[in-house]
Amino acid sequence: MTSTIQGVSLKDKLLSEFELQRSALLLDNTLLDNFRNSSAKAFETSGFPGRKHEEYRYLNLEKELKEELSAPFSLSEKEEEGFQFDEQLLTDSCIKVGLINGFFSKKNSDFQNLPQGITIKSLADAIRENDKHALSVLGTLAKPSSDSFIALNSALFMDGLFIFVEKGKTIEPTIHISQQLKPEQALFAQARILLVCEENSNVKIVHHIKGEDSGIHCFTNTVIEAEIERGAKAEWISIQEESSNSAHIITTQAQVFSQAEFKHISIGLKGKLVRNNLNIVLEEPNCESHLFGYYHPSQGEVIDNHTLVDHRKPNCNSNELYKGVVDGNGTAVFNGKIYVQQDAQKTNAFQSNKNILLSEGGTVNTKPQLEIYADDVKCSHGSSTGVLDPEQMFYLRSRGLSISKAKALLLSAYAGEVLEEISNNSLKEALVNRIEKLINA
Amino acid sequence: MLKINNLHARVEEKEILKGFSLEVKPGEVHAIMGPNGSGKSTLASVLAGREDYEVTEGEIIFEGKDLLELSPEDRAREGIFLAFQYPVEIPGVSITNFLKTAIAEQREYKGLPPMEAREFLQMMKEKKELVEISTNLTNRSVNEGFSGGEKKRNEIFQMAMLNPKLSILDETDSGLDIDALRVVANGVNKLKTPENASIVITHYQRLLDYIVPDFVHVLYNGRIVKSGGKELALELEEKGYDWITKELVNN
Ligand SMILES: Nc1ncnc2c1ncn2[C@@H]1O[C@H](COP(=O)(O)OP(=O)(O)OP(=O)(O)O)[C@@H](O)[C@H]1O
Ligand SMILES: [Mg+2]
Repeated sequence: MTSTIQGVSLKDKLLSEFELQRSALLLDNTLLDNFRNSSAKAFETSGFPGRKHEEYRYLNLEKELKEELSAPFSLSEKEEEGFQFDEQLLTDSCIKVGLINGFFSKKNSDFQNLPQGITIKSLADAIRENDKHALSVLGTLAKPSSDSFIALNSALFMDGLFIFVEKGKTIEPTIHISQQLKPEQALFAQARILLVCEENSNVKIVHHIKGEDSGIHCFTNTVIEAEIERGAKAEWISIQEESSNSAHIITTQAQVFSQAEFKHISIGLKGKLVRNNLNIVLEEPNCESHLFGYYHPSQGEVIDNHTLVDHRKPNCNSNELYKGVVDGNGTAVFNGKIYVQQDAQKTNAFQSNKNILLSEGGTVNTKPQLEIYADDVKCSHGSSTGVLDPEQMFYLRSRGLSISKAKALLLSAYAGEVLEEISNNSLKEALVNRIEKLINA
Repeated sequence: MLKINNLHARVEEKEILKGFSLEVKPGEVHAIMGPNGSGKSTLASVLAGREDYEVTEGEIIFEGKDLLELSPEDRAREGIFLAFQYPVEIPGVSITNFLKTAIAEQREYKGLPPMEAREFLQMMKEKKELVEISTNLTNRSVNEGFSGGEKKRNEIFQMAMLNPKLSILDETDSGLDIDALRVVANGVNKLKTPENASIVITHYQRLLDYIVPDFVHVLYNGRIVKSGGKELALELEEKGYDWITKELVNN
C-alpha cells in the first residue's frame, strides 16, 4: 500500500521540469529514452511516500519536500569553486573524487594516484560514450518501480559517478568520494553512482556526505548501484555528515555474485534527516555480505537505516551489526529485513541492532524482520534499546572518572565494536575523534 | 580518618543499615564479618557513593569532610577505593586507557600536573609485579571474560595504581585459590603504610591470617554487634554467628 502526501505541488513541479528537460536528460543517448520515461511514469504513479507508507512511516518527509526545491540540470563553474575535502578523513595516497550537487567535478578530483585497472568518470560521460558496462547496470539493480525515490532519481539524475574495476585487479588506494552541495537556492539534487567490480577484483570506497550549514534547505536523493561479480571484494564506507538544514536519502542497491563479498559500513553522524536504504541481494550461491552501522542523531536530527538482505541461493552468509546512540530529542530508526528465499538452503544470516538513549527526549524505532522460506538455515536477530549501564557508570565513577569521562569511555567502547571494522587506522582514528566530540558536545 | 556515626541507610524502602558506627584511624586494618544479607556490601556501597542507597540518618566524616556531600568520583579522588564484591565487566574499555583516565582525573582534582606517559607505564609495570597480574590480562578490556579470581586480582591492581587512603575490600578473597589469595594479600600488605587504612569485608578467617586486622567487627542486622581483636575472627570461625545472636537476645 502506498499513500501520497498532500503537498503534491513539488511532485508536479518536478514532473514539469522533467518534460522541459527531456532532451537534456537523454545525455546524447537515445537508449535512455525508455528508461527516463518509465522512471518518470513510476514516479508520477507513486508520488512521494507519505506517513502511511510502510517503509517511510517514521519520517516526516512532508516537511522536507518543500515546493521551493528545484532540481539542478547543470553545474556552473562558480559552483565548483571553494570545494574542499575533509582532510582528516583522507587516507594515504587515496584517489579523490568530488561530487557537487550530484555532478562529478573533474576540477575537484585528483586522479594522480589512480592505478591501472580502475576507471572513475562522470556517469553522464559514460552514458554519452555508450559505455556498455554502465548501461548494463543502470536501472537494473535499483529498479524505478520499487521505490519512488529511485524512480525520481532515475528520471532526473544528470550525472554522478561511474566506477569500474577490471577483472582480477586489486586497487590499493582507497577511492574517496566527497559529496557536497553548493546551493544558491533550495536544491533537490539527484546523484547516481554506479560501481561495477568485475570478477576477482578488489576495491575500497569511502563515501563522505559532507554537508555544510549554508542555511539553505536542500534535499539530496542519491542512488548507488553496485555489482559485485564473482570472487570480487568490495568495501564501502559511508560517512554521513549532512547539513543540519538538509535531508538526504541514500539508496544503495548491491548485487553480490558467487564467492564475492560485500562489506558496507555506515557511519551516520549528522544531518537534519538522513535515510539509508541499503539493499543487498545475494544473487548466487557462496557469497557473503557484512553490514555494520553506527548512527548518532543529536538534537533535532533523524537518522533512519532501512536494510534488506535478500538470500536467494544456498550457502550464503550475511551478518549485520547496527548500533546507535540517540542524543537530545534525536530520532533513530532501524528496520532490518532478512529474506531467506526457498532456494537459499544452508543460509547463515545474523543481525543485531542495539541502541542507547542518552536522554529521555530521544526516540528509537527498531524493527528487525526475518522472513524465512527455506528450512535448513541458521538465522538469528535481536534488537535492544537501553540507557548506559548504571553498574558500569558507577564502577568508572568509583575510580574517580567524572560522569562525562565515564560516558565518553563507555560510548567510545560501544561505537568501537563497529569502528574496529574499519581497516584503515587513520580513518578509524578520525572517526573515533569525531564520535568522541559528538559524545562530549 | 573515617568516622561513621549512627548510619541508617535504605534501599527501595527497606532499611538495611540501622545505626552503624565505626571509627578508622590511619594505619589500621578493620575486618568486618557477618552473615549473608547483614549489610556489609551495603556499607561498602554507601561509602563509595552508590546512588541507589539512601542515607536517612547519621553521618560519615572522611578526613574532616562530609563524605555524603561528595559524588562517587570525588570520593575516589579524595582517596576512597572500593574493591567490588562483583566487579562489572566493561567490554571495549581497555584497562590501560581506563586507569590513565582515572589517574589523570585524580591528579587534576588534586591540582597536580598530568603524569608523564613514561612514568605511567613505569608505574603500571611496578604495580603489575606487585600483584602478580599478567600483561595478558591488563591488555584486555576491563574484566571482560575474566575469571572470578582474575577480576579480584584486577581490583587490587587498580587499588595499587590509585594508591587510596582508605580501601574497602568487599570479599576480595572469595573466588580466589590459595595461591592467588596469598598474592592478593601480599599485595595489600605491601601497599600498607602508616597513613592509609583498610576495611576488609570477609566471611573467612583464612584471609585474616594474611591480612592481619587490628579490629574485627561483627555486623548483624545493620549494626555492629560485637567488636574485638583478631582472635574474634577465630572464635567466629569455630562457633559461627549463633552465639552472638543468643548473646544479643540475652542482653
Ligand atoms: N538494590 C537492592 N534492592 C533490594 N534489596 C537490596 C538491594 N541491595 C541490597 N539489598 C538487600 O539488603 C540486604 C543486605 O545486602 P548486602 O549485600 O549488604 O549484604 P551482605 O552483608 O554484603 O551479604 P553477603 O555476605 O551475602 O555479601 C540483603 O537482604 C539484600 O537483599
Ligand atoms: Mg556482600
